[in-house]
Amino acid sequence: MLASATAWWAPKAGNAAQEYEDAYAVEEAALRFAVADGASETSFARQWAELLVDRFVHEPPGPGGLREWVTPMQATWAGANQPKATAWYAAEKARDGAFSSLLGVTFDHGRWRALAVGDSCLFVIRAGKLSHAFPLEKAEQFNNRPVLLSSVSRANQRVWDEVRLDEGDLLEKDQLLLMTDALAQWFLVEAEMGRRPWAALAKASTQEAFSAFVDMLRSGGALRNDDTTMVRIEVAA
Amino acid sequence: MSYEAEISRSNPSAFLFLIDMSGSMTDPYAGGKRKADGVADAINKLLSNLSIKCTKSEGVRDYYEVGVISYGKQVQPALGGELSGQALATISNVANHPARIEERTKKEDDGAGGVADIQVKFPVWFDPKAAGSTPMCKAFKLAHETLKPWVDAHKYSFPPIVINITDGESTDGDPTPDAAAVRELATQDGNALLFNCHISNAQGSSVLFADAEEGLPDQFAKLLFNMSSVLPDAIRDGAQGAGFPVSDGSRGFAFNADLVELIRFLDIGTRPSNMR
Repeated sequence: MLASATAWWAPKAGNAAQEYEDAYAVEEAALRFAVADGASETSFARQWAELLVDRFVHEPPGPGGLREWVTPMQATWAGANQPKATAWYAAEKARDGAFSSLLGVTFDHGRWRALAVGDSCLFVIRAGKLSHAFPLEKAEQFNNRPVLLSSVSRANQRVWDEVRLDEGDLLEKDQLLLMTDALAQWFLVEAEMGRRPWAALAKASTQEAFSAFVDMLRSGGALRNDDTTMVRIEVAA
Repeated sequence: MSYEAEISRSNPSAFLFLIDMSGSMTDPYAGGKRKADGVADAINKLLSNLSIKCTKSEGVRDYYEVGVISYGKQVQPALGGELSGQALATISNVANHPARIEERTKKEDDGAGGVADIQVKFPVWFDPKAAGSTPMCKAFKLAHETLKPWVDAHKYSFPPIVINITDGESTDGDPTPDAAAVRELATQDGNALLFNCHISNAQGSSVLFADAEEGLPDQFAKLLFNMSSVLPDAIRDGAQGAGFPVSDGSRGFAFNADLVELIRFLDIGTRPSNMR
């Protein structure tokens, strides 16, 4: 099976590009894709989100499960970032850890498999229709307190029961969209109103066009002002 | 709509604490601590939490300006150390200039089924010096004087939140008109919010976010209740989310809260909306 993937992103309006705290990773050859949304209340969140997506596409969680998979990255994160935190408040903040959602998708034997912690979403578009939404299916399910993966193990106790897994078949020309929460929420609202948000997004073919589209949605109040990321995977015909 | 402004570095918000440091604040509080010490711990903890909340990888972002005014023998700005004399300081200045940093021990879940003792830094900005009477009118006047230029300079900001913590009766007259003048200060996003915490000696169970003066044990509690702002939706939702029974009429008023409740009250009161 062949697939091509493209990623788009836009930082929160009013923030600089280097303050963007989502992350995405695409390994077309291995057919692995991931997005993550580093929680803005935490520090070194982008670094944590990047560790998660990079490892997902290079070495996705095995049968040992997510818990075992996350542990070495926690040490990597702490080793890289905690020593930078020398001021008392930075040390306290770093001790609290960074938090991030994770949505990872792999293709295997003609099927997609997805893993999700938090509210980054996967949408499967087939024959001009939204055929599957995961892990959230309705716009009203978004709230400000998603369960997120932490870079400190003590904060993950609640997470293990909240890991969501899903899978489905893949057909030629299927389109899979991975999105962080603000865009995913907009997407579900539009779909619930009978519109075709995937078609609107398809028009934004370049990064500039995507940024302009996001700005337009934000200024109209349709899109929450938040870091915004999308990965589009197109299954070859 | 009001009270919806996003709090950002270009449109920061402000907190101003008015702390009763009259002689009676040396009386013991629930738990045996002197009231003045308990309130100082609560304020220091809150300033520490706010600093940490505004910390990002690169440092502290100035989402807030913060001030502490104490009233007792004198009415004056009460942050110590390098911030002495400043009525309002940016949160990054606050974070970087505590008067001193104490080491305290805290118990924490170690994530492996055990409990670990960990050392945490406890920065101190405010030391209690309780003496004199309770010039609350004068304190509200200084709050007004401090915040008037602030609201003029921050028209698009979430309005300032003023939190008054007292154990007693004003000794320089009825504070109602001066409190009303503070609440009249406004940005385009709404009027300044005034919260009152009454740590009373009177009998009676604690009430947080009261919605009626009935049940409050004395005139002074009722007076403070009536001076307190009705909670805007965002803060009311926060209080509800934290498990407090609230209604549309709930106000930023706490009566006889113990220290833990006082810290929760302050935490909810200082979580007005999303920071960008």
